Amino acid sequence: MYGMAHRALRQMMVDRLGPAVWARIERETSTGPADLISLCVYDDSKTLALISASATHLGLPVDEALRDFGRYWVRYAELSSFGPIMDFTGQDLVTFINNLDRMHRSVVLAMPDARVPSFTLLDETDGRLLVRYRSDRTGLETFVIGLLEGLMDRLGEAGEVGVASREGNAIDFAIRLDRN
Amino acid sequence: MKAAVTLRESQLGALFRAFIEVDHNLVVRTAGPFFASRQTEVVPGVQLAELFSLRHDREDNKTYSPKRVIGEMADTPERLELFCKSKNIRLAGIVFSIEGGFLLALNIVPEDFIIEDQGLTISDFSQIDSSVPALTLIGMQRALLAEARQAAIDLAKAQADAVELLDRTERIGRYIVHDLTNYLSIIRLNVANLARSGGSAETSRSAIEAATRHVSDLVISLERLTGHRDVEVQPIAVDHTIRANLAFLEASLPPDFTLNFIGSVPQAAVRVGRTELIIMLTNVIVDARGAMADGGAITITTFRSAHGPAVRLGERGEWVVIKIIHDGPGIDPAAVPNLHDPEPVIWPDSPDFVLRAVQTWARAAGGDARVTSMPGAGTDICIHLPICNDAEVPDHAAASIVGLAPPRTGAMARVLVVEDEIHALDAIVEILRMEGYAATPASNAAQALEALAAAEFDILLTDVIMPETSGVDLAHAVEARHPRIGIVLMSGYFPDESLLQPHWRMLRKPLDLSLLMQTLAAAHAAQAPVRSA
Repeated sequence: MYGMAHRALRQMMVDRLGPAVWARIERETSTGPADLISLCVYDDSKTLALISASATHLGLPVDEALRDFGRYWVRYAELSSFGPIMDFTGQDLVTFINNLDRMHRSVVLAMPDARVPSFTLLDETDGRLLVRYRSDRTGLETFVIGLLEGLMDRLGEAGEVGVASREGNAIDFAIRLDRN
Repeated sequence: MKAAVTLRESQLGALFRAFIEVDHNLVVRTAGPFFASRQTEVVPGVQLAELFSLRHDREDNKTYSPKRVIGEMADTPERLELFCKSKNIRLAGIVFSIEGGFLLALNIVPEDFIIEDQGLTISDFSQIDSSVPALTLIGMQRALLAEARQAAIDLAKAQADAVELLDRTERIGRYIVHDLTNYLSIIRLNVANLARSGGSAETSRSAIEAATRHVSDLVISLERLTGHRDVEVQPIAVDHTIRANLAFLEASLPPDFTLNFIGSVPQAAVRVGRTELIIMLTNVIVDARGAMADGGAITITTFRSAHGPAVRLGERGEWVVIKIIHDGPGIDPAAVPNLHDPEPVIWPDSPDFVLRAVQTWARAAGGDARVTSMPGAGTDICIHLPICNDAEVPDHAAASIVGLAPPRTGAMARVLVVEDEIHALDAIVEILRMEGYAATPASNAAQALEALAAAEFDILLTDVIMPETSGVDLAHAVEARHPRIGIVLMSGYFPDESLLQPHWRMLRKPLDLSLLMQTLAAAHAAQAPVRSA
């Protein structure tokens, strides 16, 4: 993942447990300032090591920590210098999901080493969205759930996200929206 | 020109997100999805000229009425641009003539290609509009520049913090090294003193006790300072190390005590500092001695165990257990739970301070220390340390930390000893007296100058780092008043050479007794021509 994710994780841990715990995580994972540069793309093993260590300190299973991090990631990106790009991607959930791939294509233009996923809105019925997620990464299912939940928070939606089906490197997520 | 194909409105909207259909009077009839998705004033019935100003690609720069311009542009490749009068939005495209009016096939042209505050989203642009990647890329670049700026600020701050930390660490490190060398001097001198007859055994034992307590305190400070062990510690053989230093450990005890050692792990090595291990055992022994007013027996045993301490439950490996048993009354049972408390408050005067220091040290080495008190029958202290290997251990790892001084050489030279560390001062003075010197103590420069005013001395032996006046400054002052006196400086660090006189002698702490005696003898010998002159 790119360094912005590491910076976001650092901020989340500092917010929740304070800078001393993050310093401990850095020591435990041999992480230094060179691993926190937004523009750089790092091996996933570094990101997962950081998340795993963070999960230990949070007292959460790794999957739960990933989900929390997904939610936090959206807030972090929104408040960071990437906020205008988030706004540009969409101001409502459907538009945002529909435009994610176009936004990611531009991310790859700026950061050629970034491995971005693909999101396709398969179905939209009243109160339910079916979103197909494709990625060459594995193990980030709960992170994506957290991302979608974070997006719902950001765009003023409430509801639940769950996995509808899995096939190959694609996972279909069902989003049930509470719009009453 | 009639349209060659017929487009549905949805298709039209996909290609031209901001299309506007107007009649021949330029009154809006319908508008594209860009307007439909927003609360805009571009609604049917509104006069186009009220909402937009107009520009088109003509070279004569004349102003024409919109009606005339749009009519002339219809079905030509000329580019039409409309500027929204109320918002910073620009539309561009071409004009088609249609039944009853015109189709203005328009798309958004982002102003300055900056996405902030324009209220635009990707959906406002057609799928084939190259503005989207351009806008996003520029947005990304701006964001990354902002991130890079922040990262540069962070790194500059981290660098400043690191420099400050290094500076602080260096200062603290110097203090600690200074103190450690002092305490090691005290221990070395007093052990040598104990090994001789004629010295004050009780004074020496007190000095060792205080020194070892301070050293263990410093070890804890170092642990806290570093946070973890960065320095690779070489393995040492437990039995050999204890056996080689048994005399040193015995020197901590009065005659009514016996110290036994039963070593059962001749090949087992652990990764701890040799001096640390002996200091910790000394601490435990001195602590036990304090609890045994009538004397008694202290036994150190070592054995292997496949079971680690409770705090390392589940960790695989083998352990060396160093068990110290004494038959004293046992420590206060109330202190034991505190020892087992993972994060207790530690007070230097508390009864468990020494044992706590041992425990902290053992845990830092990957093991633990536990205490079992049996009131009236004694106390067992178990130190678990992980075995790192059973490989051959270097000979020097088992070397004794005790060094004995050479025979007497003093010949009644008068030595003024200046040392701010009182135990070190006492020890040096005592050992010099035993060596035949007439040693006079002074604990600072002022006392030294007073002594020099009252009596004559052959040699000034002074510590370098002292509060108020340093040993170097003192030496300059003394030599100015007493040019014949021999100057010997002692320090853990060599001071700036430019401050020293070439004929001064320098001793490094911790003091090597043999070298101390040789240096004093040489300084004294150098006085001989002066004395005989």
